[in-house]
Amino acid sequence: MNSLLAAAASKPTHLVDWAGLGKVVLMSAIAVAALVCVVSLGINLLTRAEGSHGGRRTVNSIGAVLCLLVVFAAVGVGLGVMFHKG
Amino acid sequence: MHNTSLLLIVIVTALAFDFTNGFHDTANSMATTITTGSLKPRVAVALSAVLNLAGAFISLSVAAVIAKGIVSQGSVTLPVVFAGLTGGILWNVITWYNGFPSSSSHALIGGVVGAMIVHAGIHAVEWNGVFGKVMIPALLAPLVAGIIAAGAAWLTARFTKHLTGSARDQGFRWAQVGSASLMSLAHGTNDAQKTMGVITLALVANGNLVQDASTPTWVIVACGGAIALGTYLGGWRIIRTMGRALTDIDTPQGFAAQTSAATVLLTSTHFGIPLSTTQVASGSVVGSGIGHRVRVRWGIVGEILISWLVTMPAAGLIGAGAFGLSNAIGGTLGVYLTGGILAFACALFFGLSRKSPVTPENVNDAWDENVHVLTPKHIAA
Repeated sequence: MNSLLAAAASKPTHLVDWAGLGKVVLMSAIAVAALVCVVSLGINLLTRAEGSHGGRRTVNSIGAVLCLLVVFAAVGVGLGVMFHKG
Repeated sequence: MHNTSLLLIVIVTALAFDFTNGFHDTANSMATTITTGSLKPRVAVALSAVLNLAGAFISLSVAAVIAKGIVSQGSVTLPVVFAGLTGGILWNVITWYNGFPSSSSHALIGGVVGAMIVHAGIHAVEWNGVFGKVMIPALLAPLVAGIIAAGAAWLTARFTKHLTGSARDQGFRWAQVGSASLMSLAHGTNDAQKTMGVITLALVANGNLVQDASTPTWVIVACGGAIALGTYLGGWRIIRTMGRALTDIDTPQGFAAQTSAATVLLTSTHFGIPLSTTQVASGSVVGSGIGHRVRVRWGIVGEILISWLVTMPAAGLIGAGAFGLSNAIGGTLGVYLTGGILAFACALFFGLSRKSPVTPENVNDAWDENVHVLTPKHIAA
């Protein structure tokens, strides 16, 4: 147990990569917030398109499709991370 | 040094671990998707299985290592690998039986550490790695994922609370299926490759492969197939815990939880910070409940947190026992007899689970509000 505690205490700053973890938290928070906003906006536009007619319906539908494209791009980034992993 | 019969049982045990890994982790990507009705239970596990199989063929930079940075790689032998896998498998089966979503990776690492302590002594374990790569992340991963999921659930509720009609639920369902699929694919890339690394290590240690040789195709196919089969059979007990026991989940909340979990995992992969899929997914579910201001069953959350802290020492004890037993009997016979005991123990738990079965038919039944603990009986009730 003494060797265990000594080992744990010898390099306390290297136990966890706090800088790396901070980047994960920051980037994840930004990405999730952006995705949630885009998906929610897309669903809002889709709902409005269901209840509208003519030009307004077209505008709402195009907006929803644009949101969908942004989500696809985000999925592409996720796939890129997997393909280029270590 | 060639010992084909020893190599054979190590490979079979590694594939069995891979199977339990898939079986155990289906819940991470599909529990909330099943709970919200975005996909039917059998369709969800089938989709997850296919994506896990596909994931096994992505980014094939397999490292022939086991528990790197946690045990001295020079001291790893085939019996140590076998005993470590035994610890991982049995702990996976015990936690599955009780419905606990614990980390398969941490169970494997625990098993190897236990076996290594018996084999080479406590100094063969790199304790900084144990704390830095397993114990501390076990507390940080769910916290990080939970906070992000809470924010995501709050935002989702705020932006869409005024909406009615089918477009809202349909939209979130498709979005949730997308994020769950991404998570299944990521699971295949991470976890199938972990077992590929173990088998490649065994082949190198036995002299069948030279150091730095690329992983044989049959290893990739076998590992992808084992994890996909495990995923398809679906660890329904854990799916029920994550989908029903932790909190009540509706479609937007499920989308928030699933998207947060997938994003945190992929970001951590990108920055090279190893976080457990299970802990991130569980933390996201709890966080989404907090953000959505619905009831979270903290008693069950507490039990799961304790199980995460116990996983490594418990799997370590099993791994140490398995190594000690096979060593005491001696030779390849000792390893085979220990493997037989492992198979018997697993069969026993599968038999016990039939007394309180959780199936695709009852996995989505409402959780009894009076139940605040996870037991095999209560999971099925």
